[in-house]
Amino acid sequence: MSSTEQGTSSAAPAEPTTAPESAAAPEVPESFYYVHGKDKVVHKVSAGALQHSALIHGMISNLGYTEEQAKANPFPFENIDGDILQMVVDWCNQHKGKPTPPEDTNLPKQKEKLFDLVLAVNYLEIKELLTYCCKQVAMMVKGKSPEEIREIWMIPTDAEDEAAEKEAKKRAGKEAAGETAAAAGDAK
Amino acid sequence: MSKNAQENGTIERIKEAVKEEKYAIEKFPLLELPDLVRETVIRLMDPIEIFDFSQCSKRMRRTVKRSVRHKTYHLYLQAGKMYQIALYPAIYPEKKEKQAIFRVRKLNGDARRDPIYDRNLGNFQKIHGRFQESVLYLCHKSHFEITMALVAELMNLMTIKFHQVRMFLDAVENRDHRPLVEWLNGFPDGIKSTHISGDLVSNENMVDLMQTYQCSQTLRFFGRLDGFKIDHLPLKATDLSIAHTHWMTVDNVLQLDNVITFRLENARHFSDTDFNFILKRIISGALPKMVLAHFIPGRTYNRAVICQDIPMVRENSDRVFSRFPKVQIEDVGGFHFNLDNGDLGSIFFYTNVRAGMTLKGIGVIVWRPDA
Repeated sequence: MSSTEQGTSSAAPAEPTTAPESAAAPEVPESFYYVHGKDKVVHKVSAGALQHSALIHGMISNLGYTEEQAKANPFPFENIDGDILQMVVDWCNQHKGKPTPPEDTNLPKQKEKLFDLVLAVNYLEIKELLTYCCKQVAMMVKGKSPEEIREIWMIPTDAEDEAAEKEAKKRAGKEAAGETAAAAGDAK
Repeated sequence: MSKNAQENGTIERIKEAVKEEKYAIEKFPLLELPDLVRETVIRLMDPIEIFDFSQCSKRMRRTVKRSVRHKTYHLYLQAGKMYQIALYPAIYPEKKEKQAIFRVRKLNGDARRDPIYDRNLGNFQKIHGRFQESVLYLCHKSHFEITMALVAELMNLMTIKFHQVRMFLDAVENRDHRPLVEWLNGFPDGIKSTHISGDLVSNENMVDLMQTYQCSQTLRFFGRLDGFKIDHLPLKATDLSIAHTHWMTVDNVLQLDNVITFRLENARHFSDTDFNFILKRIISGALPKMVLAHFIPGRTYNRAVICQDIPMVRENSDRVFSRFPKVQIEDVGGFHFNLDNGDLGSIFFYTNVRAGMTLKGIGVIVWRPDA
């Protein structure tokens, strides 16, 4: 915790509280970092906005990059789609330095995008956004019967689970038999 | 206009489009989410959704159990013609959250059942259940048994603290409360608070209830049972309130050894001499745990008879009774007396005038240093 706090002060020296006091002194610009997703489109994000992500915040707190270095080395997130990353960056910018509201209605309604967003947010460790997304997922089944829930969340039935378990056991047995046969061949 | 639209088939097309949109369920692969995220989703669901989700498959039941086993809910049960289970989050009432309500009704006749509303619950296959306006309605031919199974299932899934029971004895199945009481007595931590109402219960049933029900803290009776009397009153409750006292006797009052606070309303058949006798017995050591007794005779009484032969010291604090004009209501006032064991007791005679109804009462407080 202390390391992240130190990192914040080093990465973002321009505190909004100090700026009005030193009107004569030249304003220290806010530091920016660069991220890109699968589509290689680079997004410029302020250190203040990136504080929401525990992963990125932990990375930048120990780097001490200058502006040029940051520009030259954007953080690559190859497992996140470009539009999803854009969504996350927009959310971080919107909620920069603000207390997070109890509910956020600007999340995507499409289930496919929401799934990718949840994975991205979980990877980037943005706690508040993850809670909103999880709440959105939970709201999908409000007032639904177990059958409908099973359909929406693609949950296999007991019979399907049992069949999958049997198959997994068979496969494991075959693999084990193959391994023992291979070991016996080696011994010979 | 509407005719033209009908002729052109516009309405039909719109209806079909709406129907398609309604039934085009967008799927979300929940099981492909990382474990911790999936558990967060489950924890953010309401108890009704958690329950419904746990009914999807055995695997999901295990997942739910693992995810919400540390989440605590307070349970309020209402038992009568219909059983209602309300679950409140444990943080209630500091943070007001909506309660989850399960209502269990008796399924009458061969009502046509849509299999889409069938739910599996424990050993009871295919319960008819329907979610409507944030309440889950369940119907079964034996609604009491299904309530037991439902509570057991909820206790299995999450941490439940049984807080309150309201029993409407006149509406209970066959007017027989015994299976219900037997079930409630089986909870290891006991039921904290119970409200019992009933006007038409048989005396036998009432005696049985009084003698067997093990409520741990607060017990309130509301009922007008004429001619009902009980000899032995082995109550476990520490906070007892009886609204109609046709069946209470002076002996019953003096048997309340565990009771700490006690309220007796409509005590018309308790004479002033009876109150004097009870007071004398309290002074000599009866009701050893009693701290506050509140008698509402519902009639005028004679203070001199109630305090007869007991040395009393008049309460001279204006603060306590300053709101009562002493000139108009002479009976109002407080007195102190000493108990045989050296403790101090107080008796207050007061009047509350609300909505044109005068309520006269007697409050007895015993200042017990150990309590």
